[in-house]
Amino acid sequence: MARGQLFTTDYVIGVAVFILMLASCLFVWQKTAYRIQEDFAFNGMMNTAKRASEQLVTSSGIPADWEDNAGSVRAVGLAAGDRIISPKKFAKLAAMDYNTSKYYLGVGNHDFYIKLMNSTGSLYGEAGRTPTGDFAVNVRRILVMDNRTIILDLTIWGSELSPVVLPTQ
Amino acid sequence: MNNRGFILTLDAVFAAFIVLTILGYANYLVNRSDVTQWSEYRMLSTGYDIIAMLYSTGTLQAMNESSIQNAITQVLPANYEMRLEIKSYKNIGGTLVPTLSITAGPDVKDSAVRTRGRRTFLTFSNNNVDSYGVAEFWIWLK
Repeated sequence: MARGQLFTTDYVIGVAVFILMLASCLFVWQKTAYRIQEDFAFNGMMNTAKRASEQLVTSSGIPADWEDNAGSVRAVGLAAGDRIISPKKFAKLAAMDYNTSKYYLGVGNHDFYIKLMNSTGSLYGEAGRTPTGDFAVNVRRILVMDNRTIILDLTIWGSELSPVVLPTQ
Repeated sequence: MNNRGFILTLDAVFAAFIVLTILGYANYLVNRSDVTQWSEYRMLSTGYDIIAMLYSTGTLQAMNESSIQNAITQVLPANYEMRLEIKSYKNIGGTLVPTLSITAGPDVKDSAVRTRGRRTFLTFSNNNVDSYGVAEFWIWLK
């Protein structure tokens, strides 16, 4: 009788410790898996922001005079030189239909918002949609437009963290 | 007391401890890489943008320390500090001879995130190369 009770106590303690450790493992495992998934999606957002900002400030777009030939645009870019912004290209981008500009900027299923300001913070112009989602990454670029220093803030945002899916058109 | 059950439990506890340690370290790595890479990219692009801006406006080629410092102060984000060293060389008889060296910004400080970059540039006079310049920057979080 006494030996059976001792065995039961030992067994109960063993099972309790095992369940505790198993629960901890499952909890940390799930947390890590979610964190990696979140990290993957967030990295996608950051890479989109990096690539889109580089495209805007170092490329004049395809074709280079896309602002004069709206029908032939294949990629938008704002550069008139190395980190020199063309006001005409920016005006065309701002006036473009949002989904069309999203496509030619290549931001996939994310949304974007561009703000141009002078060095004192006064707004010069904006394009895209004002961020309303829970997730956003921002890139600030320092540029020149009409021989004056100008700041471009690009925000890539979304309501949920999802990997980038490029649309087909 | 029968120790066989105890040994088995201890074995499971050790195994679980190892798994937890690995998962915790994976979490730590995921968190750390995000923050550092993004911060470094933003700082590096800011540094290169500033040098390009200085060059486009002619401030870099003028090699005037206070003008360069003023231009940097106007656009540098409040949480960053930046030091810029510019050296210019002239081609004398096929040899590059240092002619001018200026610095702008505070001394480089230790920071959790700090990065550096370099850009070469030319100055012209009557459509001929007048001097060869190297601009090197350090940028870090305050």
